[in-house]
Amino acid sequence: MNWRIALPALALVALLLWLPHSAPAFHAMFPALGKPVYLRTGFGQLVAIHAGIVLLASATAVLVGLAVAALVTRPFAGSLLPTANAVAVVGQTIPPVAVLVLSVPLLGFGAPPTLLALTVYGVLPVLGQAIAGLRSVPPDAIAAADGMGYGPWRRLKDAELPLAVPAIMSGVRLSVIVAVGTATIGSTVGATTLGSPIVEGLVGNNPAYVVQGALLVAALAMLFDGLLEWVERRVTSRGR
Amino acid sequence: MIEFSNVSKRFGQGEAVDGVSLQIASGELFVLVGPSGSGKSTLLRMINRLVEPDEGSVRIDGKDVRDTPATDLRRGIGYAIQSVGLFPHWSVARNIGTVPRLLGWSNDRIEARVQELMAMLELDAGIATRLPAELSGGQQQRVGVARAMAATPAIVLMDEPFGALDPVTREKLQHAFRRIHADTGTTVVFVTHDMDEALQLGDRIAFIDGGHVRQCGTPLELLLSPADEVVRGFVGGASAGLRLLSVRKVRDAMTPGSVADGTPSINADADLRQALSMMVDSRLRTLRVDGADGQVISLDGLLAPPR
Ligand SMILES: Nc1ncnc2c1ncn2[C@@H]1O[C@H](COP(=O)(O)OP(=O)(O)O)[C@@H](O)[C@H]1O
Ligand SMILES: [Mg+2]
Repeated sequence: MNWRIALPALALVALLLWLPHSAPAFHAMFPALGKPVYLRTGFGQLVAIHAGIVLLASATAVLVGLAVAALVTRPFAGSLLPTANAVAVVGQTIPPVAVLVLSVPLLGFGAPPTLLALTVYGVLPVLGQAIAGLRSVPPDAIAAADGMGYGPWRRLKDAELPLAVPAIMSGVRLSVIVAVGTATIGSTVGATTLGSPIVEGLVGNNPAYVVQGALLVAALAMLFDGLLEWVERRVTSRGR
Repeated sequence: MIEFSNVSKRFGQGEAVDGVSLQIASGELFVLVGPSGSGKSTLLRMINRLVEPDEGSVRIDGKDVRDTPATDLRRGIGYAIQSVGLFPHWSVARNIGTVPRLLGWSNDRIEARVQELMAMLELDAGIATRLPAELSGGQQQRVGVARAMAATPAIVLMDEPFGALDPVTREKLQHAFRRIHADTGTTVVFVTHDMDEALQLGDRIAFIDGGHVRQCGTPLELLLSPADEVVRGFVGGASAGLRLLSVRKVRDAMTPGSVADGTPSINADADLRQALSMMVDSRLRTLRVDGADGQVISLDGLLAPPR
């Protein structure tokens, strides 16, 4: 039994079952509120949309990050490496909300700018970690691979990427967890996510909505982290 | 046969290899020996095209290596290096099977070959599933040699493969390797900077210095008639006499004779250095030779000029 997956999954299911019937509890906590439970969209639907946006954006970000990292670490593209590294490092200092605001003029309101912002922002940790990982591959392993007749593509696939997996996976985990949190602010530009109750609660002075959204976001983030940790272990023990 | 014809290679200013011609016969254990930076690795790496010569050509069985695509060429030539370069994320068995897998062998065939190689290199079958980091240096090096020989290549290149090992482990591996070479008939080109290792292993030795071949010959030829002062300096010194003994076998110096009952005996394939050691140890001038009736090895035999 993997508790890092099972516990957050149980928490998520329990929350989804309980929240629709939680009016008495939240009424007790916040007696002043007339409508203590968020009803505009079902919690299950919010979780599904939120997770969907995160998965789509993160999958794209991982593919783009890995592809760019693999490219700039090839000897023929060595001149691009410092630039890519700088983008990865400096890019992460820009707050995600800035990226979000910048994508609205391009894509209008709703889910599309949120997806774009999450993807762009999610590429950065993957890119940075993948570059670091690929550059730390022991030169001996590369020399041996060349000497045994590996082509460049096969060498990347069989030797370099597997050896960079621990670094890459730490980038992926960071990227996904940040995306789970960042997707909430997509609600400020009109996307329906778990941020919707939070934003509405903040605007409408309804702390119960904020708590409901935050609990679900936290459970979802922990679930994703547990799943990714499991994936990481599977991937690193593959070659045995 | 591997044939270097007048090959040269420059890196920046210096000439790493300068007009080298060499012929290495099939089945030979050929050693490139010389000081660090003399161009040995560069020469070796020209055989599998990890280095391309600026001038001259390298031919294998008459065919220029440039006429074979580099990856195909390399899959047909074993390669073992000092740093071993095992894939740290793969098990011992998977590492050994690397080239057969590249060549598309079936899983059953690879597994059988891996078992055979592990036995040949005296590796305990139980370590097949271990990762390289869980092995001793000597075990890693054995795995590296097994990997180089996995696809039964006709040629194996070895670049100081035992360089990082302690003397005892190194000697064990040298012996194991000498036996494996004799059993398989593979052509081996072996790089080392250690003259004792070169003398111990080589059928023939090329002494490389400053990118040139100073001398090429059998261990005995290098010891008895060094081509110049540099070679003499390298093969000679305080242990020159012991080296001379170590490259000759009891079989080559034994004489008819008889000894008293109970005299210790030595194997005919032992080297004369071991014979001398046994004489000193047992305070005897003459020893019985195992399995050679009526033959003895004597102190006079050790001192007689090599025949
Ligand atoms: N890839 C390279 N780039 C630049 N110089 C090199 C390279 N490979 C070898 N050299 C130089 O060529 C000379 C011979 O090197 P090498 O063949 O490795 O010597 P050895 O194996 O005998 O120690 C040395 O001076 C070394 O610095
Ligand atoms: Mg070298």
